[in-house]
Amino acid sequence: MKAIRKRAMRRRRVRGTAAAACAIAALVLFGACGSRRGDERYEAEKKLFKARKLREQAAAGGMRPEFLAGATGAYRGLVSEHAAAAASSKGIEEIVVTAQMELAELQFRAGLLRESRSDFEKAIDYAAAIPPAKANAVYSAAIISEELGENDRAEHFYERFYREFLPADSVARTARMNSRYLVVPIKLADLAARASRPGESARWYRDAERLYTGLIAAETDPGLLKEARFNLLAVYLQQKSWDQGLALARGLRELYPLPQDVSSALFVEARIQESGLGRPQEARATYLSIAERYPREREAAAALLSAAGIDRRAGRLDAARALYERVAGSFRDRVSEAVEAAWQLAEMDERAGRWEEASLRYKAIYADYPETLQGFEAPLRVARAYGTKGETDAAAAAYERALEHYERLAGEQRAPSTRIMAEEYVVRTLAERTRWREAAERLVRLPDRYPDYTPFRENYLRAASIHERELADPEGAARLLETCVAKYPGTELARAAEKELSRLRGGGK
Amino acid sequence: MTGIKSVLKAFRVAVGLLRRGRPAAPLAVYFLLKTAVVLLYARDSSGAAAHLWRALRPGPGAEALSHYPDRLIAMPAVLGRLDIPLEILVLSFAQGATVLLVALAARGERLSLRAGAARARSRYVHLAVSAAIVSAALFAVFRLSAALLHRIAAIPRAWELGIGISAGLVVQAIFIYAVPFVMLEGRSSIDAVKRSVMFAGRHFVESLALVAVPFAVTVPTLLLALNPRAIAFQLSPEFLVQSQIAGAFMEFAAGYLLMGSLTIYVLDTRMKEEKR
Repeated sequence: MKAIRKRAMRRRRVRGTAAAACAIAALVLFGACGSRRGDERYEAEKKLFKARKLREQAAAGGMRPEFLAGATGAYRGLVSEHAAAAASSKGIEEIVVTAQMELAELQFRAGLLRESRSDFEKAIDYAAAIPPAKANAVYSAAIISEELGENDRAEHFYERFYREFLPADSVARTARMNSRYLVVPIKLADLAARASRPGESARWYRDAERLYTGLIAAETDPGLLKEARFNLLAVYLQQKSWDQGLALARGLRELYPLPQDVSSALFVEARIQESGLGRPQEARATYLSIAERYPREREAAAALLSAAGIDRRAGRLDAARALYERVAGSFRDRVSEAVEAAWQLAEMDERAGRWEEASLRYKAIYADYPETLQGFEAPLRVARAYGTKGETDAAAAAYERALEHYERLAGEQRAPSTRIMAEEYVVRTLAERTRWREAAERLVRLPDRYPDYTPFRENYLRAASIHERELADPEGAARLLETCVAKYPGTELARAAEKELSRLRGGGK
Repeated sequence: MTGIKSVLKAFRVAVGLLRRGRPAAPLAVYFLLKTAVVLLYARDSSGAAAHLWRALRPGPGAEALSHYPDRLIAMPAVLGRLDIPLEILVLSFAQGATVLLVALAARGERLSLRAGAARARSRYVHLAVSAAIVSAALFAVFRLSAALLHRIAAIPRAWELGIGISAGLVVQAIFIYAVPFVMLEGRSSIDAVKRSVMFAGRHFVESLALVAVPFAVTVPTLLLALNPRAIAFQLSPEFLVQSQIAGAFMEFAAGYLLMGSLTIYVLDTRMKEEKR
């Protein structure tokens, strides 16, 4: 009897525990019946968050290729999985467009310009119903095309932007998205001018002028008005409408009395006086007044450099030297102006036959400003000068020092752009020393060392050319071209290499 | 010194009773319930329960609850609002049953979950009311200390938190005996609270030690819950779910340690008082 009672109690206890477990399980499952669309958007947001984390890892401390593939894969996965649902849900559409734009921006930051443009083109399609994103995508595709030197494609995108986002009734709306968009007609005019289509260029400038004057007449937003006025000034300068430009620059000084604005307008006035109206003395006075009145503004150092240039051209070398010394000594934080002044001083010493002083100045340039163009050029300049003087040993030593300097820059923890530039200078130094085999070997190592910097892929063609012309080794050249074709199949580069290869082989026959 | 020794003995005995398993069962069920709530919150972004979460976070913040990772970042705050009703309605019951089971185990009597639950059910109203009084007192002390500190000087958040927690521990030490008095002596809620205040007054240092040690157990997970945004962005939003469950587990462990040692300490003290 006792045993039966015990079993019954145990059964009741088990039933009680089971009931509690069922209640908890029901509570967990209670929410599983959510709306599918909301869940899909939530899932898409989750994937976007993860892709962004990967992007941060990829971009931390320079672009890291080992994470880049993961980040781009995560973005692509999100877009391909949810693009179909974007049409029926605004929330999902926004996530897909955001992901596609971020993917394109990531590619751009990684220097993968073609891939970036291709992704911006996809973003244009996805963002059909989201004008700010679409405008950004079209504009970015145009900018990248320009950077790639593909001006036809750049014009195509700028024209599309102009047509879709800058008709008279939507200029203000577009400018509020991003005031930089107002520059599109100026870009189109510039591209037409570069393509030797002056008529078309003039037409774009007229359109730009109409657009900015219309905006100035109708707009009340101070930020947009300012942007439109400064763009109009740029149009006058490009069209060489000097008097109109001068008048507008003076008007801008009245309208915008803040030091940075007055100093910019004064600088433009001085440029018009110097280059447009041919009044260098007037321009010099204006430049000097900028440096005196606004020594802390961006233009101060550049104004002194320009004034020094006027003095130098007029033969007032002491005055020029004094101004250059002032820039080099007092504006060390304005690196590009300070190094330019130092370079001019070195050049003046060199021309005046004071080689010791000049060489010390060149050395100071590459020691103090190693990452500037002048900093890269200075070591080679010294070596060449010794060569020109016929001092062979000194020249050889200077070239060795230059090589060591560039090797050090290429090997140090510096920005990728600096290391790439240093690599270019290593090759240039080797070439100047006619160490052709080393130069060619160095060239073909670079594409693997900098896989994200696509211009180095063309090094195979450069190395092949060295083998053919300088080393009289057509076989070696052919091998390099074959490697290039195998390494980058289906690309424009592979086609160029194949063409060279067939020329080489045809020549051999 | 003797008092502190008694407290240490109470902790040791309470932990030792765990070998019999059942004294911790009511609080374990409460832990499972809280885990279920956390999982429900974590997995359901747009289902029926979403209305409940939105109700717990009214205003502009409600929209964030349907987005990732904002939803998980808001979890400690949203579920924190559910804590007070859960503590009054459910935890008080589990604490009552635990006190009874620990007392039975300490006396070497047979442990019956059913009997424990039945006894706690019969005292449920008193348990819930005394829990409500303690919660209200804690809430008032936190608010009051924050308001006072703001009025006196602009002090760092860490200090504010430290002072608030110290005040909270004192309040808890004063009211903590209400549960054993309701369950073991059959007092009404108001009477139990009054007697708790008197008892704690006589054994203040011991009472403070009884509440401080279990609180210390929960500190790591409490610290994790302080900055959910940083955790979400620097580790992973999903880690917040794990840390919330870990927090519930630490709460369970601390809850048992508190109720178990408290019961042993009350029984011990009463026995000594009777002997005298």
